[in-house]
Amino acid sequence: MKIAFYKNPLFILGILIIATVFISSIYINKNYTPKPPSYWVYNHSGLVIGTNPQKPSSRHLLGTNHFGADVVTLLLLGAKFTLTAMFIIGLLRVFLSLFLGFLLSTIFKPLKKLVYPVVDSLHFAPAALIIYTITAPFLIVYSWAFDNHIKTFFIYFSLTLVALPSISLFISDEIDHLRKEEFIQSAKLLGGGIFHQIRNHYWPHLKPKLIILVTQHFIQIMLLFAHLGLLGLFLSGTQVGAVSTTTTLGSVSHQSHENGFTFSGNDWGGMLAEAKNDFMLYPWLIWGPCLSFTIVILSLTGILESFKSNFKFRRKRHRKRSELGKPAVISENDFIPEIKTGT
Amino acid sequence: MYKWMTKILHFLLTILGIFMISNLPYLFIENFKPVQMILTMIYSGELNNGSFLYSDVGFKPWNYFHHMYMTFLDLFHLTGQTYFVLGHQERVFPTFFNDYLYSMIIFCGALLLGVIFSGILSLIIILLPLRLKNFIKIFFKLMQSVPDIFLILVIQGLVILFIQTTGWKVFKVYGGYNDPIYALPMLCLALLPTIFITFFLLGLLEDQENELYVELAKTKGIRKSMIYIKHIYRNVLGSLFIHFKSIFWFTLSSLLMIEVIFGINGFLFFIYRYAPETPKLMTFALLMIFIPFFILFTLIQAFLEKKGMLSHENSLL
Repeated sequence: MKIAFYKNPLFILGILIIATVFISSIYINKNYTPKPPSYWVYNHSGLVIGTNPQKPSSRHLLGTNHFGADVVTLLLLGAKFTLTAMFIIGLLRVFLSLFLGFLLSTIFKPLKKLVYPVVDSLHFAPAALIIYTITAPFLIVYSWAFDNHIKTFFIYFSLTLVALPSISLFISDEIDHLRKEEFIQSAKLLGGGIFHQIRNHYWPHLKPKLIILVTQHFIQIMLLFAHLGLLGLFLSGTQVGAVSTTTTLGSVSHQSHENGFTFSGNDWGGMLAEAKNDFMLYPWLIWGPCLSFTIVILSLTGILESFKSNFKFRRKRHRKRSELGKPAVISENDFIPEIKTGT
Repeated sequence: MYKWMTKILHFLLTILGIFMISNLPYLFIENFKPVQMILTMIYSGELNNGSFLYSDVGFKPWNYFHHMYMTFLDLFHLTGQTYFVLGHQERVFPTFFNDYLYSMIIFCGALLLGVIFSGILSLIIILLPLRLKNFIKIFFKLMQSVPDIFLILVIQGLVILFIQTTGWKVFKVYGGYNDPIYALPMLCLALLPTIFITFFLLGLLEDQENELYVELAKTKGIRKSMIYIKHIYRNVLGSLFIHFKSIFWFTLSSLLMIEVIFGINGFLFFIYRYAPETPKLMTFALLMIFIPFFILFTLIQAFLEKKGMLSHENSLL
């Protein structure tokens, strides 16, 4: 099927959902005035009818948190931070590893065979656990001994670092694969300079793969946020360890020291962390962030699928024919080696 | 011979990689000792505040290599190892190993159940009429992209709802310290590899349908189900094995989530709780995952290569 990706209904749906969430998040962040926190729920005549957090009802679709704030509003408030962090980390991962992959297939080419098994060690541990053990000394256990800037820097840094080796190997493989192609060889023979080759011959072939890679990593990062949130690690603040401190990052929209958390924004990972802490008492609180992660991941998957089908169509025209004269069937799993990566 | 030598080199280099990963905190912090002592004092009540201490963070490669070496030395007297818990040191090994065994029973059971379930499921689905098959494939595709914590929470919620409404305790939902639960986490965990392997197998089986040997078998009048069982599954096994490693990986990360959500005292949960204070626990744990599974994968690979099911160009390790 020859559908350009922007005409694919999956792509349109996915982009629409993400854009709606993001834009409404920006709008709400501008116009939000927090209510004074209260533990009691009052009716119109000022009588106490219940306590916060409330169960999901028609007035509050996903319930309220400990301070009486509506969970849906909080989720929309936090969407901006979560999605921006996702974009930043995803793009950082791919750009840095583009550079590293280029180095691996040029200067460090002889070492590449040795790098493979070393990177293989990452496939025997959950990435969330690796990130947790790197950052937890700064963010949770000894959180009082470190500066806030370092904490913020470190969580972005480790989220980027953990994926760099495998992506750079992937990109380096792609470059090596392209180098063997005829058109690169002839470009070299005809005297094309290295920058000319990169711009005109490597880049057009790398671009679609990089776009797919970035989208895959957006999905992976969202999964990682969810996993790390359940482990009590998130972007917008820290879980306080042994001692309660008064550290806050940026502007404080709400604090919950009783639960051992400090917040600066309402990013979804943090909400998941808080909900996980109260999972026994208020199990419905976990559904809000969990559902929003699911919705964003599903729409990203729709976008990814539309890219993949578009890319497949392009590649089919270039493919060699098999011996029997009919085109060889390429299954969907063929061109991106990983089906799904552990996070 | 050469092949086995490269295998051993691969093994050693991966172990080097494990040391590099698990000692990463030392690359940035030099003095864990004073901070840990202050934490001890806070737990014992001598101090109530650590704000006077400021640790700096930097790039410290020598400290990193030194600690890699120290962790390597620690491997030679494993029984004496201790970890930091609530202000005092405790012995690692009997506890850690018991937790490891418990987690591995759940993990291996889930993987095995996943392979068996998906073998049966894919056979049933592939024999269905085309329209239904396509519908089921879309369903599996959707399930594949849903995050694992969502699936786990949904299943847990459904089981609890079922028990609440009927009062019939099919599964134990929670475990105590002395009576661990097996069935529910294992089934929950088995669901994820089942979805992935089934979807993957469906694609592979459909690719094989146009091959010449299948057409030959069809013209000889062999029943369709028999062709699948006797011929196609055997040819698909190699490619399934190649992708099995990534299935292994995300099942492992889902195991961590299951341990956290169900509150199981498994060994990944143990690392999660205590590895930030004692990073060498991470090394032990990664080695304990890596060594048995590397040997298992290598043996399976050797077996498949001997049977000719694995083409040489896409060898795994």
